[in-house]
Order: sequence, then structure tokens, then C-alpha cells
Amino acid sequence: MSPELDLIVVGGGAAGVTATRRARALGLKTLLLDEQATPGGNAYRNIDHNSGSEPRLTAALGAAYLAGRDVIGECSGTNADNWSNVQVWHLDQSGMVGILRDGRAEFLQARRVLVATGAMERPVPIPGWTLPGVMTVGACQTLLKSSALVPTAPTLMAGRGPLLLLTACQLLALGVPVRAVVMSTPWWQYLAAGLRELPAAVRMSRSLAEGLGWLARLRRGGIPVYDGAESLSVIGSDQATGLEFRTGRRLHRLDGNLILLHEGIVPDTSLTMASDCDQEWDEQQLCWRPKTDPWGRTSAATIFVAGDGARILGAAAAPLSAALAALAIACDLGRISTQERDRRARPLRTELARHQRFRRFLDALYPPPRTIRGGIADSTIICRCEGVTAGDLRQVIRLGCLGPNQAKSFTRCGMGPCQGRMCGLAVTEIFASECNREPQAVGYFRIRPPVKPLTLEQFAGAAPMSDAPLSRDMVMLAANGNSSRLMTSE
Amino acid sequence: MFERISETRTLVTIYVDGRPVHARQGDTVAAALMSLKSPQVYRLSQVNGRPRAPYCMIGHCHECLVEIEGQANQQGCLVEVADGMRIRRQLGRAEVEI
Ligand SMILES: Cc1cc2nc3c(=O)[nH]c(=O)nc-3n(C[C@H](O)[C@@H](O)[C@H](O)COP(=O)(O)OP(=O)(O)OC[C@H]3O[C@@H](n4cnc5c(N)ncnc54)[C@H](O)[C@@H]3O)c2cc1C
Ligand code: FES
Repeated sequence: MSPELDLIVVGGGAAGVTATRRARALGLKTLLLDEQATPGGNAYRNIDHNSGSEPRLTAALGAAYLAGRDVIGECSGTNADNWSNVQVWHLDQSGMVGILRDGRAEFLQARRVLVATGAMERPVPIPGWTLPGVMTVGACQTLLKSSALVPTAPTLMAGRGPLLLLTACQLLALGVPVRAVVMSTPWWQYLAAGLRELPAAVRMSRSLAEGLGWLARLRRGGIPVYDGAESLSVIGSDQATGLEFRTGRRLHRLDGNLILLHEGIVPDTSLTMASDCDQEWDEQQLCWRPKTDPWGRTSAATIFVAGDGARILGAAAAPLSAALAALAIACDLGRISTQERDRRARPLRTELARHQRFRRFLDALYPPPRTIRGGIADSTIICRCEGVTAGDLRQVIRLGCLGPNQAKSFTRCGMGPCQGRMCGLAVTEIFASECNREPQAVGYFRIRPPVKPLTLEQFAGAAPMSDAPLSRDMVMLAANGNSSRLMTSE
Repeated sequence: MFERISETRTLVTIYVDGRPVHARQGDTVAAALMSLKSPQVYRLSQVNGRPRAPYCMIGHCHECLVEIEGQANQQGCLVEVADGMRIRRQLGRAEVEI
């Protein structure tokens, strides 16, 4: 492996694979890394195997899934330039990337790094969400795509967003009807959103028809759909046994042992945060995203982002932002002129703008839950790892706790192995509501490497491949590590 | 809680707390454990001993931590099974059979 890499791409989904292919075509020596065994990312997970050997599953997953075959194309399989089963646990602005490969940690160096780590499902704490039997809709869909596993337990789906409806339809197509779909968006949302953003949506009429088709298919399949559900809570003591919610003044209680939750998706910002790239709070989508220029360059000149990890625009748009980033990187490194870069970017930008308009329609249709800011009950666990409740957090805020990082040392909220991925958004929003401050002013946990679990033995074996000095964090990391325990950032 | 709708991929044998069970090539450890009827408990929380199970399946929540080949705290949803792999559940502070 030569240290003379032009570009390391982190993430082999639609964005990462496209950027890799484009960058190579522009003459950049590019290494693609992904922690999955096969490329495809979340939308096109396991596309190679499924499209080849699982016709029934692939048919149920739908045409949009199958389209992934062309997107992923020749990046399939692991080889000298495409590494699978590799976790990236460190990134800094010198272009140093810490990876874990075959149980060994090592450092790689490149002149530019593209973060294409995609999205994660928005964690929304509700009572009982830590019980076995509760998982995300995406988790269930992941089991389907990667292992051809379908639920046998009576299943309820709850929340909002296209992925929820899509997955319900995919299960239905496989003859696995869920017991009920409980939407936390009211029906008039469709009307309001439809009228406001309809012109944009009509231009993407295929996607629009698809979206409306899902609900119709579920109703035709005899699946009860509840609209405008509020105050969701999972029932059960050692295992989920049902779901409780209100519609208007009616209280509902449905039985089920598998409760699939979904409240939309948000960018995965762990690597751009760990490398100190500036982040901005998106008040429309209630999430953080890395600040970028129109090419996806972050506040660090060496680090770019593309795909849903930059901003949620969906699988079809991910290759467009990725191609733009590849052009800018090639221009940076002297492979093409700025004129050439801009010329090639023009059609990509036109296409991207169409997706942005359609996304505005989707965002209006499925606005993110506003209940996180003030509406999480004191007794609800927000930090799954350490079992910290919203009430615990509010208490230290009332005692004068200044922000998420101080709250972390007072309550252990965000200190567990997930490093705040599950509670971070809720912590920012609870601070915002308790202190009457903007989320941007509240800020977020300080994320430090390693962003993935790593033992001291693994870390000690890592030899930097560059002369770049270790950052202060890295030195602290080495000093603080406890070899027998899982190492996290604290 | 889950069952297989396709049997195309090769069978492998893995050991869960010493007991041999079947999985399919390409399964993650977490997926393989969830396709089993028993054991029913995936893990117990180290913090409060409560039962927990995989939540996100894509590497974010860390609810799927298991011991794999003697190495504790591995993300079961990211590691693929291999024939003969030895897996131990992490049963929190209460080291009892469940
Ligand atoms: C669970 C889930 C299911 C989804 N299902 C669908 C769907 O069925 N249809 C659809 O249209 N959209 C789906 N989406 C939306 C998704 O975000 C798509 O828009 C699309 O996959 C985005 O492409 P991407 O390349 O930006 O990211 P992704 O496709 O998410 O790819 C990101 C890749 O980065 C890798 N990665 C992340 N962190 C690291 C790290 N630290 N080290 C190494 N590798 C890393 C991941 O393994 C992943 O392969 C889903 C999202 C989620 C979260
Ligand atoms: S199940 Fe969430 S990290 Fe593995």
C-alpha cells in the first residue's frame, strides 16, 4: 500500500462508490473504505448477492433497490483499492485516517479525504424504547437485505417518513403483513405539504406516485394505518408487549412483540465532528450537518463530505454530490482546471437542484418531530448506554450546568460506548428548551477519536504511515486507555 | 423473532456460549443471534443488568456488543460470522444462564 494516496473515501454507499469511480477516472489514486462486507451502503445493501441469487427478495425490495446494481457497479468485491470490513475510527485535518482492519489498527494518509458515511435513523426517546423487541425500521430492513430475515413476531411500526412506508410495503410484498402502521404525522399534513410544494413534486412525478402508492398498497393489503398518533410509549417489562398512543383524545393500545420505530434520518456526523469540521444546526430538519461550500468541502480544506452524510437528499441524489466533490478534489490536486471543473459541474447542479426541490416536498410531508425539544417525559431514558433520563439531565441543567459536555461529566449522559450518537440530538434540544437558547448556541458533545470501539492493544499496534504529528487527542487517548476495557473518548 | 425466507447461502456453524448453532454465510453475528429461537436474551446491560438487544443494526447504537473469539465488546451488527466462530453473550454483572 503506497502512502502516496490522493484520496481516501470513507463509506461505500451510493455516494462513496460514485466519488471513487469519478475520482479514479480523473486520475486520482483513490482508496475506498467501508465497514460492511460488501459495498452498497444503506439503500443498496447486499445488492450484489440479492440481485444475483434472491429474485423474490429483490422483487419485493423494488425497482429503486435494483437500480443500485448500476450505481455500485464495478466497485463490488474487495480488492487492492476497495477495502471492505474496515472501520474508520479516526480522521484529522492533516488527512490522516485511523482504520481497524482484521482486528489491527493502522493509520493511512491521503491528500484529501471524502466522508461519505451516510445517515442514521433519528433516535427519538420514548418510554420503553430500550426494551428488547424494540428496534428501528431500518434495522428490520437491514436484516431483510443482508440476511433475508423477516419478523415472525406480531409487528407494529410507528413514526414517520418514507423509509417506514417503504419497509412496510416490502414486508407486505413478501407476505409478512405488519399488524399496524402508526403514523405520528396527521393526515392534513399531506394536504398542506402537497399544496405548498406540489409544483416541485410534480416534476418528480415518479417519486410522488411511489410515495402515494405506498399508503394505498398498505390499505389494500388490509393493514390498519393510524394517523396523527401522539404520546407513543412501548409497553413491557423485560420484553416489548405492545404500543400505546393517543389520536386526538382517544387512547389506543395495540399488542405486538416487535415494535419498529422510525422518525426519519439525519446525517451521521461522527467523523466530521471528530475532525473538528464546523457544524451547523439545521432548524428545518432538527439535526447537525457539516458546514460545506457548494462542492462539499468542509471548514477543513482537506476534508469533503457527500451523500446523506452531508445533507439528507436521498439515494438518487447521493451520486450527484459525490461527483461534484470528486471534481473539486481533482481540481485541487491539479488534474483539471477550474474551467473544466465548472463546466462538468453544471449538469450535475441542475439535476441536484431538482432533488433539492423534491426533498423540500418530502420534508414538508414528514416534518421532523417537534416533541424532542420540550416533550420528553422526565422518566424517559435518553442515554441508552448509561440509562440517564430526561429528568436527570433537566436536573443538572437547573443546577446551572453549562452545556452538553459538562452534563456528560455530571450525569454520564453520552459517556457510554455509542459516544452520544443515541442521545446527542435530544441533549442539545433539551438544553435549548430548558435554557431558551438556540441549538446552535447550545452546541453538541465534543467528539473525540476513536469514534469506534478500540482496545489499547489495537491502538498500540498502530504505526502512523506519515510524519504528521499525533494530535493532542490521540496522545491523550493513548495515555488514558485501559486495555481491559472498551475504549471510548473519555 | 425472525425467520429466514431464503436458504441460498452456505450454512456455517458458530458457537454461542459453547453451544453449536447454524448461521448463514454473510450473516452478521447480531443477525445470526436474532434468527435463533434460543437464547432469547441477547445481552444484559453492564450498567443496570436489564436485558438489551440490537437496536439499529448499522453500527451506531452499540446495543449489540458481544464477545467474539475472546475479544469483548465487539459490535455484533458489523462482524460477519465465520465457520467455527466462538461467541459469548455479555450478561452484564449477573453472570447467570438465561
Ligand atoms: C438504516 C437505513 C436504511 C435505509 N434504507 C433506504 C432504502 O431502502 N432506500 C432508500 O432510498 N434510502 C434508504 N436509506 C437512506 C439512505 O441514507 C440513502 O439515501 C443512501 O443510502 C445514502 O447514500 P450514502 O452513500 O450517502 O450513504 P450510505 O448508503 O448510508 O453509505 C454509507 C456507508 O458508509 C459506511 N460507514 C459509515 N461509517 C463508517 C466508518 N466509520 N468506517 C467505515 N465505513 C463507514 C457504512 O457502512 C455505509 O456502507 C436508508 C437509511 C438508513 C439509515
Ligand atoms: S445494533 Fe446498533 S450498533 Fe450494532
